[in-house]
Amino acid sequence: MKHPFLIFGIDNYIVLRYNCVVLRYIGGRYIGGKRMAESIVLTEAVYYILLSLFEPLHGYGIMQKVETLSQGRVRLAAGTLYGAINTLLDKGWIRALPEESNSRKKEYIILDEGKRAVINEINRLRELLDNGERITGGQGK
Amino acid sequence: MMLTVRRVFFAWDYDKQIAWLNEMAGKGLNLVKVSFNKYVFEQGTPGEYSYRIEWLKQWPTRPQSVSYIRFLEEAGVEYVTSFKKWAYFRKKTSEGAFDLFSDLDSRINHLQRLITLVICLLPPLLIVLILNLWLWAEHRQIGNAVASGMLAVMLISFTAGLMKLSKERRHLKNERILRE
Repeated sequence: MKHPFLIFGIDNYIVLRYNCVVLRYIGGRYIGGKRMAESIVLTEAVYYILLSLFEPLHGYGIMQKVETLSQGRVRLAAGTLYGAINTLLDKGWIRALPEESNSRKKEYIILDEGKRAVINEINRLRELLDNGERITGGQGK
Repeated sequence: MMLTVRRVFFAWDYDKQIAWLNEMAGKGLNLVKVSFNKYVFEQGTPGEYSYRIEWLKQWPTRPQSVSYIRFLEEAGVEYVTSFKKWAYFRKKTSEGAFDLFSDLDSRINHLQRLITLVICLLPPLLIVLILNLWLWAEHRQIGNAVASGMLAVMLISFTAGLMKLSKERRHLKNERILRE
């Protein structure tokens, strides 16, 4: 049986998984399915953007921070970052800090909702990691 | 020193356009201005700049595009010029690799915008072609036959371009199933 993750095309950053049924999360609505338990899968880029914004940071700063955190593995392009930031602003996971003067770049900071999302993601990743290491006998290192 | 090159690129050849602009930049010819069939280059240091193009979601003067361009500039991307909704960006090669999109979703969305653009151009072409064919059938004037021929060629090339874009988008969507 095909993994439920593959049944639907994924064209949004965030995919909701309800009891192994993958749904599309579009424009703030859930499409189809009954709501039983909620778990969100973040993309790598979004996860690292949120982590970067535990301190106030501007666009270019986020790109640099993510590259540092991932040791060069995750490179965010400016266009992609712009879309991600707007999505995160819409969801209320981050907010823009008021610009102090015209010359300062616009900075962003994570909100409580965003922090919750990060914690959930860490728990999800821990589950993946634990299962992976157990089944492969710790070959992940 | 400026150089003007007359050349036309279709929407579906935007990757060829990017390749060409970067080839010119590699020779030290940096794009400064664009119009429908003219590209104006300025002589500079070879290989100093890397160019990218984007078909914006809105006209460059609209607030959403203005804030997008401003965001890019804050991230070190230089806005060169625009033509219609085509925005031309560049970045110094010394500052590292330059891409506007780093994930599949952004690339898929951009391709979708281009596909929508090309699809919108088809109906008028088709209508004028049918009109010309009908006029030719009615009055047997050579002008209509010639126009029909030209329009048919245009329609075929537009459709071929559309297929090329769709194929690339389908490929990216299949990739998307596996990875980001």
